[in-house]
Amino acid sequence: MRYRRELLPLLLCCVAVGTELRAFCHAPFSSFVERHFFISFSFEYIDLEVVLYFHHEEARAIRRAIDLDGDGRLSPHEFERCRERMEFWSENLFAWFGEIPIEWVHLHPALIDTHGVNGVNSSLVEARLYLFAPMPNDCDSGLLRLEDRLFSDANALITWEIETRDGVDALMKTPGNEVVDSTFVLASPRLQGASREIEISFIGKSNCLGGDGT
Amino acid sequence: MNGMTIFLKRRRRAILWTVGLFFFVTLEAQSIERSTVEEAANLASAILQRHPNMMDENARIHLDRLNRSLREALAFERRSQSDEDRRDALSQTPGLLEDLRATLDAAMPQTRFLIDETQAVLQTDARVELPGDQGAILLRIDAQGEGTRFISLEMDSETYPEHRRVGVEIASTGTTWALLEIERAPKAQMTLMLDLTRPDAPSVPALLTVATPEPARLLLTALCDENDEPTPAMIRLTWKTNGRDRMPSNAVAIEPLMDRQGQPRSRRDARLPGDWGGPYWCIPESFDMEIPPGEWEIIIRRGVEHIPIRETFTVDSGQLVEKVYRIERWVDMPRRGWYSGDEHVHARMASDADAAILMAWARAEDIHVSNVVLMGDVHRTWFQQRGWGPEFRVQMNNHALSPGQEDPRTHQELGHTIHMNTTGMIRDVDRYFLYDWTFERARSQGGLSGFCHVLFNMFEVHRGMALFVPFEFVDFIEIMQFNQMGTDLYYQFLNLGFPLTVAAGSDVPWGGTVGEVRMYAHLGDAPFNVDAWFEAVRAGRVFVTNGPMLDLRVNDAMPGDTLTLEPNAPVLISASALGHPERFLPTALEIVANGEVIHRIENENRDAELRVEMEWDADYGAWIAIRAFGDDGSQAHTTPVYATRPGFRFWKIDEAEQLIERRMASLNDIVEMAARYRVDLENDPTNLTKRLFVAQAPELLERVEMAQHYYAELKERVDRERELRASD
Repeated sequence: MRYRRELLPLLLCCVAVGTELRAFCHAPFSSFVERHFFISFSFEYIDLEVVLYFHHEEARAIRRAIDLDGDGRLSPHEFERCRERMEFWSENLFAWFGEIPIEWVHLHPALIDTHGVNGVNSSLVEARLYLFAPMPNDCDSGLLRLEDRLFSDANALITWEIETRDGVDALMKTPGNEVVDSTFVLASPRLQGASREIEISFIGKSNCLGGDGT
Repeated sequence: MNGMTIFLKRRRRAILWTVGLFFFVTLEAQSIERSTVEEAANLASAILQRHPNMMDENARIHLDRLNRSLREALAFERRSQSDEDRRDALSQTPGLLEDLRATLDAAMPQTRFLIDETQAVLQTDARVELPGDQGAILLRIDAQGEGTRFISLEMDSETYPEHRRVGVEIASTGTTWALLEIERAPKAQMTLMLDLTRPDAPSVPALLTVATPEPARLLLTALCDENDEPTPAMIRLTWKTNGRDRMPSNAVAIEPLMDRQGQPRSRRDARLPGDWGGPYWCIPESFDMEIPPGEWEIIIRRGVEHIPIRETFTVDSGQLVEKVYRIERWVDMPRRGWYSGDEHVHARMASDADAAILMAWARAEDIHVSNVVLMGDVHRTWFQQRGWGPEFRVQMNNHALSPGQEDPRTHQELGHTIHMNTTGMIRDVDRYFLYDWTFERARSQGGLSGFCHVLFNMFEVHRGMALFVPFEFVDFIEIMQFNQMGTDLYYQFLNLGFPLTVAAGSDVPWGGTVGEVRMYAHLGDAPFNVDAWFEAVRAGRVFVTNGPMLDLRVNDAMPGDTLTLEPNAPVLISASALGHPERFLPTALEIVANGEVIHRIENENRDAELRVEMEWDADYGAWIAIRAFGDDGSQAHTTPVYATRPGFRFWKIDEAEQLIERRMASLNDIVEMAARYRVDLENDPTNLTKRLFVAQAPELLERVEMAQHYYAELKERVDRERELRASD
């Protein structure tokens, strides 16, 4: 009982800081979160690797959020807690196959890299998410719409890159209606809650969603 | 006896089995902890991501499926609202975990211990061999009783404390699979001291000998195509055994020059068209390093004018392998009078040592002029330079580093400016938003100024351009960066009749590598000279590219030239785009006038060069440029030739009013921002950007007024010119 009473404030503190890290995607920034989306289509799955680079103020803000005990140093335990919280970041990556919403699943553990400098006031933090979703009903043709609401309050430089396997072809339609088959870079100002969208049409062995892939 | 009874009797045994299995699975599911499933999936991820060589391809595909199934169960469990749903989510996992156990048993070499209260008895060979200095060992530790645990541990043997044991937390009972990942294993062999620990039991020590094969030795030299002399080059060396890249032993240490900004690594993730993007290191001519035996892939590049080399080779343990690569050109642009530059290179150049590093990088990418820029904001500067002007340039044959600055630079106000060939740092935070103050000083120093990130219309650069382009302060506009070209905003200003030179800059360390996009300036028959290069940029004799090489003549005029039109005399446009079968082929060449494609040819015959010659009536004036596209996604664009008629402006008169409105809207943004920041400051008086903006607002708004007046006059000119054209 005695321990429980002593632990309560600590637990509340952890919950509060954890919630902050989870809600961090909505914090305001003065500058940039650079992001790379590598999207890979195969007959069965769509894999999405997200690489985020936090620069300047964003890097310091995220370091402060990781520093649960506020001692100014980021410990292995704090990194572990951060990785757990990062699992929720995928909730800000929306996607639809045609009209069917996709729920992303983590393919591998999230990574966070502070480039060997573990003070809270340093710059650059790199984070990686590895996600996947099964193709609905083994459907490998149709239209995929992706909406990035990660850190939508921050300016963004976004690289979208698509890759295909198992004979699936894909074309990406950019916000400017340009059609590209490999890489597209987009600079986007802070959106204050709005999103960054891209459409990818993919053509595989079947066409069960009815899209014509154009 | 009805049919149902007969069916039940006949299938009694099957039904009993099914019901039994159901209860077994249900009970098992209740006992499965989320953490066990997570640990199992993480072990699978570690093998798939970092040690794929431990399994054959079929087993890897199976493990990938297992991992996905485990992850889906975990995701479903996390999203579940009730305990029942959570149990349901994990109900499939006992079968998956059994499959994982079987897969590990069947498909992976393992080191097996049998453990009791006091000792761990090795059941397999005491000596485990790694494929090289990186690798992993799968430990299987069997204790009495039921239970399973999956764990993965990382160990860097170079930094692991002497005499410290590797702690392996195993299951209290049953079997533990532990993947021990080892980095930088020493040569020959090492003895690992394991500490097998269990809850509520004393730890049990175990010894394991880990051997590594004798490494091979790779001696590699890159040769310059012109003279067969060793040259710096960009290299990627991949050990196919685990798919991981390996830093060359003497890779140029670029990282310290990066001020911890952007992606401050010596490994540069080049943003290049086609298959050539990805990580590279810069090497200074040659290296000699030990590598683990096995299959390797090497890629060697030297900028866009050369054909990259990709080769796979195998080395045996203890073998000495010498490789000499001559990196051939597919085009020699200096011979054609064109020299490349990158106007946006952030790096500290505060010493000879810094300059030597940067020079190696510039030579490795074969970029002739690097505008090495200090970067600033209202608070401070980064990427310090030891000085500006010719005396602080560094030149080695036809490659030069010239200090410049990216400052002033505001993110949410007026955009980023860049300056080259200046003779001193130009910076006064009390005039920070009065960009014309900087532009004027840059010009008086003999420098050139421009706006960067225009391709993305980033950092509200449309406002800065609307405000300062009319007053002829702006020499160039950055339309290529990060493997992209963007011309929307650039064309809007050209279509209003403002002559502006194209520019390209990598923006390293945010960009990947120096010269990944580049601008070529025409020096003609003159030998390479840095001052001449800057003068060529001032004259607009420039095209930007990350692939196709362009040539444009309108009558005899080159890009950047102004051509005076004679009434009813069409101009002769000659254009070409060059590629190479071993690099890329141009897919299309377009002639663009006043923002419209007036002619396009496509490469139906897969030729290395596309050429077009055509007559075109430029009427009352037009800007005429060309752009081309490569089959690898590369792009290129020239500065226009400005074809003008006396008394007329070269503009897209039909769009002029609408474009003027857009400029006016950008100027209004500035006026509104001044009012908003004044209010904001009351709540946040420490915001330096807003404080400086508000302090400088009276002078800034004077400039806005001048610009508004300019655009209002321009609007009147639209009407006047329409009348003139009608009466002509």
